[in-house]
Amino acid sequence: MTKTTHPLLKVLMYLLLIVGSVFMVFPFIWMLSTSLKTVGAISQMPPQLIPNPMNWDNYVTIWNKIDFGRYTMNSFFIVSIEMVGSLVSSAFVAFGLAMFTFRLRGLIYMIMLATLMIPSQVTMIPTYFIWKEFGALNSYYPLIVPSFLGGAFGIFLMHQFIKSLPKELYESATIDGCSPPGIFFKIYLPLCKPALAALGVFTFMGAWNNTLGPLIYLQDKELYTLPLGLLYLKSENVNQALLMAGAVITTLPVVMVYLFAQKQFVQGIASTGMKG
Amino acid sequence: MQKQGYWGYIFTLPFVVNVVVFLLFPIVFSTYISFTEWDLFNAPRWIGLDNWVRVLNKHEFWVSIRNVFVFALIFVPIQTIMAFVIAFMLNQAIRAKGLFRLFYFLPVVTPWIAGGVVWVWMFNYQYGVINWALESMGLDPVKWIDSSNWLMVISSIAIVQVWKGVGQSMIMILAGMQNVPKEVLEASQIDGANGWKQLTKVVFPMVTPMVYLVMILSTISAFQAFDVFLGLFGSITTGIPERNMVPNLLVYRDAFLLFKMGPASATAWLLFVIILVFTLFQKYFEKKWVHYD
Amino acid sequence: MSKKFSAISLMLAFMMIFSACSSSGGSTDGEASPDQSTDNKEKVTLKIGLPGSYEVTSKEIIDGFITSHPHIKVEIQEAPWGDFTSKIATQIAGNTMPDVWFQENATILSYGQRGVAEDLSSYIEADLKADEYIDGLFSAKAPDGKVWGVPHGINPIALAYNQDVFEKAGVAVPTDDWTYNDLIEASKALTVKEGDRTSQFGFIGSFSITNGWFPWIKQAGGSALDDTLTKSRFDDPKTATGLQQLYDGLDQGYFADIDFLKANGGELEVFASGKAAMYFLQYSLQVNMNESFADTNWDVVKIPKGVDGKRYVPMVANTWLVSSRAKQESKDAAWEFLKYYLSDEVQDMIVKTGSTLPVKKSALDQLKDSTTKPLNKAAFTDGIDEGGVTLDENATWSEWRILVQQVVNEIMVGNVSVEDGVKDIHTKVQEVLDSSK
Repeated sequence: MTKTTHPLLKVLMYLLLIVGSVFMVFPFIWMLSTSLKTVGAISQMPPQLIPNPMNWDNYVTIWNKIDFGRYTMNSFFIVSIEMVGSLVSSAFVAFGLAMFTFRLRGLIYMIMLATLMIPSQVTMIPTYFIWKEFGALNSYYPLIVPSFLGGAFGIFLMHQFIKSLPKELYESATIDGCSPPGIFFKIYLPLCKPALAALGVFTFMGAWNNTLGPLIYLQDKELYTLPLGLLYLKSENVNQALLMAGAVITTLPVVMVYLFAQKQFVQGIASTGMKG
Repeated sequence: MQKQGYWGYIFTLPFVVNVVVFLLFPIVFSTYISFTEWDLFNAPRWIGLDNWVRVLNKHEFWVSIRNVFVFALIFVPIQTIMAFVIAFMLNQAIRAKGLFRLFYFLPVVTPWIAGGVVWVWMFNYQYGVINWALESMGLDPVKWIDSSNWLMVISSIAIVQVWKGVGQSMIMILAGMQNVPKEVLEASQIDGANGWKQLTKVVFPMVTPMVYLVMILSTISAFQAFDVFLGLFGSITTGIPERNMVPNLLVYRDAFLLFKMGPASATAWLLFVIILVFTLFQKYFEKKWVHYD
Repeated sequence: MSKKFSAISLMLAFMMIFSACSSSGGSTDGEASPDQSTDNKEKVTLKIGLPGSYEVTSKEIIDGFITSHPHIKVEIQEAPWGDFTSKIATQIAGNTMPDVWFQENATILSYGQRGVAEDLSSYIEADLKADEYIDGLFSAKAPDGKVWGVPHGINPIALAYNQDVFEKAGVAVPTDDWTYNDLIEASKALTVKEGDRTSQFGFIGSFSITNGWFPWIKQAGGSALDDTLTKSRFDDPKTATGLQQLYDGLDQGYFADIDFLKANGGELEVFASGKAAMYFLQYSLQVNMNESFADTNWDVVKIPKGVDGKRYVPMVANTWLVSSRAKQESKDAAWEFLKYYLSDEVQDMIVKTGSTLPVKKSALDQLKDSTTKPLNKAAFTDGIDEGGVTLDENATWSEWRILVQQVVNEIMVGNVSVEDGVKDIHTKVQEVLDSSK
């Protein structure tokens, strides 16, 4: 068999991908274009995709309405700490669950799965009590500390990935005289790059878009995050163009992080010379 | 798996601390609240099983469970299969795959405030683009999210949820595919019967751990559906018809609009039990098709 | 090690259950701000909660209070408007709520019932002259005479009309003497069809409560609840008649329906762009009209008269409340603030923002000289004077209101008949009313 795809199949595949893309991208494009519209042009349906005239005022308004620079800095500060915490701790715990047999392993694994299903709407208030008791209200601690203790989502993702790596890796490393932490940091962590990149994108997205946490725990306006600041735009019956400009500002950093990470999770492991 | 068990405890310690310090009390507390009458202000009053009985006797609760069940039944398979197919296609030697990957990921980052507006417009009975397309093909227009038929509404919303979520699942599977050696992948380029065999017999088994992950996560998120309903219906106070309700909407309404934490907690924990049962069910079959290494 | 940790945490957890459940009155000691302890005794701290921040309550007002009351140390707690509910619910549970804040009037009534709000009737009696204010001052008065708050502002509705559209169609513009029948007939005359599509509607057939089903059932002689606010009146045939009239308008195509509104950017856009000639407009929306649609040629008249010749002008209020768990000195400071808020100085400022109506008569009088659109602002002020009604708000309003809305939505899109719908509503509403007894 040749390794090339049948041309007709290839055409069909492109066709499928392109049609799908239109559905996928359209709302995003609509958001971009609405954010640049004048009020009169918003309600036209079907929408004009390239606004005429281009109206950058909405972005200027947002810039003037909220303390943009400070909120962005705050957001990046929180998010980067959360990223580091979550990536390392998730992989660490997942490695433990995937690699060792111990009595409580099954129980811890089940608890991990179960915490994914915890109804956060009713546990939110008691969680608030904990932080109040710690005297940590109006600070970033409630937002960043838990990320260092391994979230269920990250652990589960890393666990599945590590389990699909070949077992022989671990054994050959033990023969070379590595201790388990050494094996984790030197061998497994680098191999987990594709999954870590994916988890990084999700963590960034989750932390960046988290408005409920900052809303409840932060009192001081100086501490606000960007998405929380942007929520103020929704306060009154503001026009849709302004809302969309806010949405674009919230979205773009995530897209950039995605573009940066994309190279990581698709650059194959094939170069590491594993068994075929 | 390795025998030095104590290393297992050391590696999982952070998570155990997390559970003990930050999760145990909220779980115990909110379970306790489900047996009380609590308005968030006055002291909770113990009323035994009253909340549970009342919730279980409510028509709206069973409607919401039915809805979320059907929602999951439609959403999970479509999402999982599509995520795998798209990931597979975008892992081929094709042009502009980086761009395609970005496109399929964009809905994940598109806020509901934008996505909701566009979908509501597309679903519009008289003026929407979907019915416009149907009519231009000579077909009758369809009531999508304003249908009096709950099944139509729930299926339409499930499709929107696929739009929103398939990118995230695709990326997880794509990451899993990086473990598949290049030669295997090259051999499985779509080229007819042989390629199909390669795909199902070689590539698929190697990414089953990730497919399993996607399935479990999709199931949980389907049962906890909330944002997608608000994205399409606006807010609870705008009066989402009872036949289109899902449990988390009821929990939110009871807890934060009506300040009835008791019934809210009972509903929430009932939902938890249902999700747990489903996950255990999926876990039971895990060994039959998921290949670790 | 892990065992010790968990033991400590468990103890901690049970301590917290205890502390969270003890309803012992006392102070809002939540996040004791560092300067509170070091401060000298004379300075009172007052935490003011501002949903929607300075967009909703102008900064000028707060700053004015701070300068005129140097002995009170003001701390502002803000949250976005839509998300304030979750935040305040959490704060109430954690006993960290502000000393004074505002929310929708119906929410305040339920706070009153639960004990969250302080009864202000004695404060009002001592310090305010009731005849200087419109009746709306007592929007938060419960049937037992307790007053759970004072208005942040009041938002009545009036009939807005697009003058250009009327002129083009050669239809006489609305007057204060209109009845709902006049409204219906004019709507028919103003509706323009192009093929099988309608390009212009007579009226916006909103079916939300304030500018939708509530005025429609009131004008027909019906009501949501009876005068004691304990019995549902959805079994009243007149209530059904009102809903039927609204439904007919939508069904027969002279009121703009929900599909059209959604496809054209919402109620305000449709009215402003002349795609609908008339609209029950809330006072606050004039700000948006002037900001976004300055060129639209429009004005308002009073909402039409009902079948009994009387006028019912629905109004929604936002209401300030004082936390019942605040320290006495903070309560006094909070009342200082509310007195200041109800003074001429502030009430005049509110008039200028145009986002809500103040409750002081002297301030309302100034609206007569206003030169911004709509020119006939008396339609709002005289309207409330003549027939201002709240939305039958009581402590369970939030709960039964959602139930009504769920069914009204079904009626208006034609999924349920009016007859079956009101029966369903009546049972559900009465159930809620009875359960709170």
